[in-house]
Amino acid sequence: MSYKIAVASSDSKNINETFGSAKSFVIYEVSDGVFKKSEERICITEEKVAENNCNSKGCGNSGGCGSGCGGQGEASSKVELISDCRAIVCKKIGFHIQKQLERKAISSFDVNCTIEEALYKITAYYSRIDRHESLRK
Amino acid sequence: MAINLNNSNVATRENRIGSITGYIGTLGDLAEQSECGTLRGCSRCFSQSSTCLSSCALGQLSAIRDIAIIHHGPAGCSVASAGTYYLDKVMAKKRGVTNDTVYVGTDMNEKDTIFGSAEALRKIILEVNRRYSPKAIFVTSSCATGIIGEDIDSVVDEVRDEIDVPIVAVHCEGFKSRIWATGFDISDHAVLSAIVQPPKQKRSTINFKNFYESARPEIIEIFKNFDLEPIFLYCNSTVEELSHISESLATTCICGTLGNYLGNGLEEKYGVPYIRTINPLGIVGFETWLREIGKVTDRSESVEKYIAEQREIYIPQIEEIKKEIKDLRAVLGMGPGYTFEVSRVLNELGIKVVWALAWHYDKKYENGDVPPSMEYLLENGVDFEASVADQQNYEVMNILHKYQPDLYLSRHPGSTVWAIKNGTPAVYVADEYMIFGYKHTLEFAKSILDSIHNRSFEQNLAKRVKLPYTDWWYQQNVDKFLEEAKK
Amino acid sequence: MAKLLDKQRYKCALGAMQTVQAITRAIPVLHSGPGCAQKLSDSIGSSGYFSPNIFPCTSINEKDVVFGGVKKLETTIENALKVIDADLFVVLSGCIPEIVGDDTGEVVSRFKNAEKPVIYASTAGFKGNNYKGHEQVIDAIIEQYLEKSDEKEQGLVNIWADVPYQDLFWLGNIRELENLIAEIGLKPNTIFGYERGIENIDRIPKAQFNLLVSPWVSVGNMKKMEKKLGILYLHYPTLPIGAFETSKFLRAVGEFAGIPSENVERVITEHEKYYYYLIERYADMFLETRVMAKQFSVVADAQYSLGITKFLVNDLGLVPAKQFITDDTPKNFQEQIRAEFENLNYGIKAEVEFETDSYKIHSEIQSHDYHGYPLILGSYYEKELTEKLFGHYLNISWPVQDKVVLDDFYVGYTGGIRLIEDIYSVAVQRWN
Repeated sequence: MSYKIAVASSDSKNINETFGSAKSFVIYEVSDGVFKKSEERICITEEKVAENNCNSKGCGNSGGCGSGCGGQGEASSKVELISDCRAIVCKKIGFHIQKQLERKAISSFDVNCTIEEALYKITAYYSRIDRHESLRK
Repeated sequence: MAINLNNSNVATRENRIGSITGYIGTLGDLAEQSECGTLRGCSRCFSQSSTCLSSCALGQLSAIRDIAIIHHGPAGCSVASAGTYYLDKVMAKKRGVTNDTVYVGTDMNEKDTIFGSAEALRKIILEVNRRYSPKAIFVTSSCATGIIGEDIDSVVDEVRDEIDVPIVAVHCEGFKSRIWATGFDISDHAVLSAIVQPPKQKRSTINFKNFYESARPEIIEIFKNFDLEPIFLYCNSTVEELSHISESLATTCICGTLGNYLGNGLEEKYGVPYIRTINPLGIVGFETWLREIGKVTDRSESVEKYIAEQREIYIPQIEEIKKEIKDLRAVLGMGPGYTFEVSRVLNELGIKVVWALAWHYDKKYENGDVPPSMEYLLENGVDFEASVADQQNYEVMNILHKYQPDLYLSRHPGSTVWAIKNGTPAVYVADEYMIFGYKHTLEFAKSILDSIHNRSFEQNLAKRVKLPYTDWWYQQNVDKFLEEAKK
Repeated sequence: MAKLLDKQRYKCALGAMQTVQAITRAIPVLHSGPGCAQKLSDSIGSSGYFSPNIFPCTSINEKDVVFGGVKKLETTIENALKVIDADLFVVLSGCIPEIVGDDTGEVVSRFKNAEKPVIYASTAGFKGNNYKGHEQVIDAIIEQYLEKSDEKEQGLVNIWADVPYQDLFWLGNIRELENLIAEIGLKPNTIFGYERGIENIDRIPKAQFNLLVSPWVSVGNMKKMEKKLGILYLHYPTLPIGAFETSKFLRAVGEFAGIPSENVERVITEHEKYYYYLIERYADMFLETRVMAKQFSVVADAQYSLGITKFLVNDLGLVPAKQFITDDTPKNFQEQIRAEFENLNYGIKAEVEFETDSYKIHSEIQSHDYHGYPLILGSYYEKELTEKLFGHYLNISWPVQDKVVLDDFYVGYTGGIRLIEDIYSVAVQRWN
């Protein structure tokens, strides 16, 4: 079973971008538990509602929502960009985005390590889950 | 569409609807951000224990009569069997029926976690079937089985040919989600995929999903006015009865969180309309709900007549009590299906809600709409501080300590205790019908009055007990342990 | 090997959290899923200074499973120390971290110099049941907290009995054992219940000896304390209920402790006088209650099965049918427990079966001829069965739904009277 994992990284080595700040996602294709880089997807639209702007006092629009925060039922374009992936890995992820991802059954992992380490662990986990193998260390 | 009945593993609530835990802001923010889908929740670096999702899932299923639940896991997971044995017996006795449902465990041990126990599970299923001849069998996994990769689905598929009754795998691997109300969806999914049959006819029945049917005789009487027969789920339901729920005119529930998976599932698969209004709690709630039922089942005239009659009897009495409880300040702690509904009722009664803690919050329901209770509150300009607390006790305590409300209302076992120790009167909104319709709204108002009047119990206790938190904690803000602070 | 647990009588090893909760001002910190605490708590006095809602818990999720939960555990412990006002923090690890390999011990060792003591026990649910978990918590206290003491306090006795919360009567039972021991001139020390916490734990190494009142639970703990703390122990397997056994018990303890026998006899005589005064006043009730037949069965853990059997046979003169022990007793203890059941007055031997499958237990009870209405003392699961057999039913073992007990007890002379009252209160509901 093959699947894709999206990674937010600026140097293709470390998970050093947050979801919101990432200008692109590196997509890794995983087959038979082995992962390899397959493409880079550039984020097309600038998110007007990045984490630091969308605060608890509301979006600044009282009756309806204008600029780019998605609206009812619509996911942000960044989420759409990786909608065919099984998981996204980044340094930090805004929880409003996390919920949009989860609505598409995309798992999110917010970690701070190298891409190699993160993907190794995640693919190992998925391999075992998919093959009904024990997660015993 | 969000519901996929072919997959036994329900995408957890957090996945499916966009639920959140750990948010702080005003209700207006919660709703507004729910509307535009930009809600934020927060993770925590200190949490206290809350609930296991299997409690909700299996609590529901175990109430069905004459079935078997086989909970594959260590002995702790199936401890619930003791409580369900008691509940099944007393609830059946109350209705005048018998319930021979069995809930067994498999006492998984260390060897099983190393070598697996699929074969042992298969044998246990067959033995339970032989001993008790249940009308359906639910085989449940647990965290432990999930983590060792036990394939419950395969075992169930293999054994299906040897068993004459519906048998279905129920997935309760808890580490896959933190929001406990997913359990209700899991049980609904199991029932929808294995028990409910395609409709053979249409009947004048309405599916009524609830917890413990304490108002059953009353509701049967109410619905007689509209020539409708309610079918109560799942407490005391039989497998036979459940197989026909696709034939009803509509589905409704006493609590949105409890019923929305089943309601939407029946609507999507069998065209049974799901009544999506605010809960029938309080006056506005009850009337809105009844009117929607009237509309969907084409019985609006009899509904209006009933409402008019009842208003004459109850409204004057409720107005009288309101005089004595208005302007009280309350804090609430319940699941979302209730917190926002009860806030609405308190608002109707003139009680001011200073803080509402929903244990989690569904941003949207299955069909993409904002939960009706939120919509109502926004439209009617009811705003107050709200947080999504995932049953985190230390947050509740901090809020009570800071706001010193007149009243604390909660629905989760063990939580009212802490308000009382703080000296705050607490009302345990235990029964799901405690605020149902005019009659119970009046009773609810009276019990609030009683709780405020006689403060003996909590004052005596509060004077003498020490709370378990350090002074340091009380001086922090309630969002201390949320990794993203409220801006 | 996974087995059919039909109407189960115990919880998993993580139930040890209740043992911790019973120690005043001690709190369990759970490295587990979010729901274990609520699931493993009954509403039988598990609220209090700390209730399960208060227990700090790492609430393990998918990310913790993939990337490890060690960091979360560390911050949870760190913050628990800041937020919760407790004297002892006991970290308990559950199923998930033990399988995915989180090194709980290593994390806990980072708190060696914390303001309050932090210890841990490995109580994954699949490691055993809560009787084992209880032992593990005590082991953790011995191994990680206690040190040998050269200073010994003459007459100080640590009493170990009962598994808190698993037994409904634990609080009252332990108190009564303390009272009895104090009466014969010793100084009792226990660590569970009202105002018994870290100070009492600190006194453990100074004791003259350990007194274990239990068929098998905590024998391992006693051996450990003997080795590490140099404390001898007296193992008294039967929970003393009623005059016959309690007098025997006091003599055994007095002898082991070197108490002059006339002191012990004085106490015994005083108690027996009152006890038999009550019995004599009600002698007609014992002999003439027509619905009380002679045969009984107890379905409970080893402690109650043995204790109640001895009481009913040696005190009240009843005759044992088959007895059932449902706590999954380890095989190496079963022989000696069986021997105790065969050591009754007048050469009477009670047959005992170690069985965790209630279906089998119920089949046996149903097929036995009790020569009259059976007296069944068991858990709530036995209620329906006993009603079917027109028997007398008393709910004394877990799960208990039929009674509320705050600090009532069955231990000792007074406990025996209480049990008689409870049994006959049931019997007199019927005439014939």
